Amino acid sequence: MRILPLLAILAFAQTLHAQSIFDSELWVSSKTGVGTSSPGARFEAKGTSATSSVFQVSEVDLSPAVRVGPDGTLGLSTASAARVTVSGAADAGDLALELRGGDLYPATSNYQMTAGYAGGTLYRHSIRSKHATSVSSNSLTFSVWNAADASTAIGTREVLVLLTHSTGTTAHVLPPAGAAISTYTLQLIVSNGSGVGGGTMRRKSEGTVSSALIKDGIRSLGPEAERQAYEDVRALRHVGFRYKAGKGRKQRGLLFEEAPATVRTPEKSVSVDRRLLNAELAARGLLRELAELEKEEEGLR
Amino acid sequence: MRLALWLSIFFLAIQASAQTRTSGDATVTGAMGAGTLTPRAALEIGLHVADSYALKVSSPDGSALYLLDRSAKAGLGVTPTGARLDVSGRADAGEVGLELRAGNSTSSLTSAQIAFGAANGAYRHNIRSRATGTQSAGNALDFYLWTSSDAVYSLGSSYVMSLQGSTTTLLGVHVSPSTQSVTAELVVSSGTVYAGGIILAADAVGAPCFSDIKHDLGRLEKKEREAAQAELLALRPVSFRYKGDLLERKGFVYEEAPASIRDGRGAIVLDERLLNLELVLQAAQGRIERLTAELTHLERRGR
Repeated sequence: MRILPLLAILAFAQTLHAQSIFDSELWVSSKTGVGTSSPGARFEAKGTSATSSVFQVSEVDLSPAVRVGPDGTLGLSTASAARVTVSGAADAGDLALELRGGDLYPATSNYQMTAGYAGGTLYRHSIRSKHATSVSSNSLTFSVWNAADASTAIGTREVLVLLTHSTGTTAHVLPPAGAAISTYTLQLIVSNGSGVGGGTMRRKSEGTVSSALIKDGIRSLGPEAERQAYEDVRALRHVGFRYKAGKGRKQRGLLFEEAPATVRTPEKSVSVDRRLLNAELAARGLLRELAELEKEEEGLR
Repeated sequence: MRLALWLSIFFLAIQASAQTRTSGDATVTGAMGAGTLTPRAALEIGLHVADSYALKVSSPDGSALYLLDRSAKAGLGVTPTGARLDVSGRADAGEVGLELRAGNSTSSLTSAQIAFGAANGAYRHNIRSRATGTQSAGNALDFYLWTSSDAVYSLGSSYVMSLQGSTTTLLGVHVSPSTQSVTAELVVSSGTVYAGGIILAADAVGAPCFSDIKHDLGRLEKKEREAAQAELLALRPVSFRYKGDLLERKGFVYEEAPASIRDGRGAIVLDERLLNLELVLQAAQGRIERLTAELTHLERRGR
């Protein structure tokens, strides 16, 4: 009778050293180490060179719900192809990744997602979301790091904001507030894949912000400006051409080097707005001359 | 002798309670609690006050592959810092940081790849991907915003922008917001002036003009040409600077501009100015033709 407890203990010890099977629950109130005798966390699983998965939580069908591979990749419902890979099927209503840390408008205290460089927190670009219970002020903001930011800071240069208004939504190309135009000469570049700025835009109409409320130093342009504009329009040397990059269609236009200064921009492009303004000024001068000629002709009758 | 045996048994039992080592595999067919005596999952890890990390998955050399710290922040290949999920890696070495495989097919937009929610999971803006392997068109990344017309916990349904392939342009940015009336679908600002930005493009302005997308068509004739002429002559061109900006520009003041070229929201419309100019030139051409004919007539009469 006394030998039975001893046999039971010996049998238990043997199971521990070969393969331990706990047919009921196992509770460990202290730390648990798997593959390590000195766990560095409440639960540590340490792989070996022969391990194909270091840690895995399996679904009922034994497919991996969470898997950490020996290469340090994390797979959710899949083996990992990237550092983090998430499987799913949006067509079946699956959402791959949900980030719940958004700011409640008007707070701007943090970011939802940052992208850093080479395994560190350097030069981080970011996406920030703002949420409001109203129709307006919901936004996604894309910011880019640049050298004016501290190297470990999250970039503060807001480049693009997707924004809701009371009447709809807008994509807003938006350099940071307070930055001078001379610092950011171009805000939106539309390229065609073969040349910078060689792209085409399609839209219904385009406007120039023009209210006196946002302007300083307003000064009327008189007849001299009309005369100069007329001379500039007359001096235009229109050309047909193709852009060197790619094999685009033949186009008509001007050469920057030959264009009058009044239509050239500091960033070395020819401004459509300035050309139009020159044409308007020139046309006004022409109309006046035409009216005088008609008056003269009337006198000759 | 019997006492020694019982002491050894007692000692072994105490060792098992303090630290248990299993050199072979351990299999738990029931639930396992690590740091907890009442596991509520197949495996539950319960943090203790003194713990820095709940879960560590480490490589053979002991370096951390995956760390979950006491504030539920996870680090992959890195000690988690400020983010809920901090992923190390090097794209320069060919590594992808995050791969999401739940995209929609072209014909469906049922769910999203990434949702950006508020702290309680509400008001979710989202990025959706559409994919097709058979053609360029239909592949896209679509950006949606939540507004109060959506249910609180549903994915936002206001379509704002899309990066997409097409059969004609291969790839492009498509600013394509809701069909509601908006001030502007795309606003380009400078650092100091709202909508004061500069756009660089070779073929900047192209308006869709097919007749089959238009209705209520009416030709602009003499009356409209004369109106355009009057409006052009009424323009009051000015030089100015935008407030807060040093660059001197030339243009018009919205408040002084004729109604036909104002958009009703503070902007003067480039397309309307160009159209007015074209109408004026057409009218001028008619007047020149009439003058030429008259001069010819006068010359003949003078002979």
